[in-house]
Amino acid sequence: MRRLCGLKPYFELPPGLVLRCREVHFWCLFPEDVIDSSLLKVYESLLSCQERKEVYKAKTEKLQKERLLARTLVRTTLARYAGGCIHPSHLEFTKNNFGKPELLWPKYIVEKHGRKFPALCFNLSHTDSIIACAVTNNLMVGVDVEESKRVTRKDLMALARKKFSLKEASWLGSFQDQERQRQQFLKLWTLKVSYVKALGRGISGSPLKDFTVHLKESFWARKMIEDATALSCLSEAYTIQLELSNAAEVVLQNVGLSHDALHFLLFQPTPLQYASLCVQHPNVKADLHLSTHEDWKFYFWKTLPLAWDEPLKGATALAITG
Amino acid sequence: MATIAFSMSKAAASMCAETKALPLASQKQSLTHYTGLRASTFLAIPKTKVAAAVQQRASLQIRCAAEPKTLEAVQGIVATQLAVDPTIVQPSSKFSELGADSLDTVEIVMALEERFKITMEEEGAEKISTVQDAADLVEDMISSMPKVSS
Repeated sequence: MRRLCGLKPYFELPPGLVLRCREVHFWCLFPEDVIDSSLLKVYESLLSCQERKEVYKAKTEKLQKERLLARTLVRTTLARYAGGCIHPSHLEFTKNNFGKPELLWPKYIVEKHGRKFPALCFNLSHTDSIIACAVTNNLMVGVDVEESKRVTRKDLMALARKKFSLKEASWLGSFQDQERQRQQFLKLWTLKVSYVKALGRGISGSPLKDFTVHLKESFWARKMIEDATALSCLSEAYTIQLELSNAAEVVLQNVGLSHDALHFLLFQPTPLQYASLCVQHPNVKADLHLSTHEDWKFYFWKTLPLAWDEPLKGATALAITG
Repeated sequence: MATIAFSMSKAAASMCAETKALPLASQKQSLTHYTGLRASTFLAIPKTKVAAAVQQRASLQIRCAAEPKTLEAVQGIVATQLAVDPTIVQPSSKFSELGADSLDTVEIVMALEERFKITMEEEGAEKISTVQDAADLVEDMISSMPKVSS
């Protein structure tokens, strides 16, 4: 059921939603839901001066709207986790050495009962039909969204040979049906970009050729998806496994991780998009002292900032690490 | 054509470097590289081509930026890939501002490689930020390819 927030300046999480240590929250906004142009003016007022400048640097009105909605989603979403105490326009951002945006302030989120959580980690991705923001409690995260109907101008196999690993290109080449091959290409692309974004070292820091994402049809994938998400699942579900070259292992070690530290979830928020989440597994964080058997959870929300939010219904999970 | 232009003196080259900001580090490298061209290499080029090149290269400024024709072709490729009106694709336009995502960028690089019969090295391609950068890198790649004497 839609929860109406009204045009109030402060924001709260939907009732009962808390960002726990072992959770990933996916928030999305559909530009087609934004019909009121006066709402866009209000959104603009939430942005920093610099962000407003960046919005208007985009060369078409459609791209400007996309940029505006993206910054709005990030600010309003992160403000929710501050328990309604911080106005979205007061959040401060910085970029790491490789240009990945990070939350600078607040440094800590103080929970209602006085417990202090380290600052939120987030990642943003957007395409024509969706703006997406993933949020975690101090776990590295990357998200990528693509239009599921996207047709490349260049030949898929030429693209795969240029950018994918040998094994991935070979796997892609095994699909005879053109449409199927196109879909698999996009799924792989989305997964790979979400990995690069999670690491936050840029494409040059984690070249696409240096790692292989294996998608395997698996009977167990469905159960794992059901345990981790409330998403519906096709009977044809896949597991995702990550294989790294030596160079890629070194990159991971430099950020303090091992190859089994990053987990993926591939899903379709609506039939029009593919989305991939790549998240640092909470077990890897020694300071949390959590049982290795405890599952972790993904939650999905759809929102029109300042207007309403509701659980994302109708999304389909395609694959999960396992 | 660019190869002949770069055979002028080092002083001229450094003057050019100061008068126009070069978008890529590789640009500076290629300038100093080409000032080292030996006279014999220069003279091996057919006379008609030399005359035309000298006329074209009257201004020091032209040598530093890509040829207008290259820029035009790059603008066309970018406009097609991103499905935008070519008139909004300016030399100073950033790919991101035109709506290019990572997949678009890869496709643009491939289209440029096909059109100009070059291979863009990964590092160079990643540094491309604007349309002008792309055109300059294309020229750089063309210049650095071994010339086949006709």
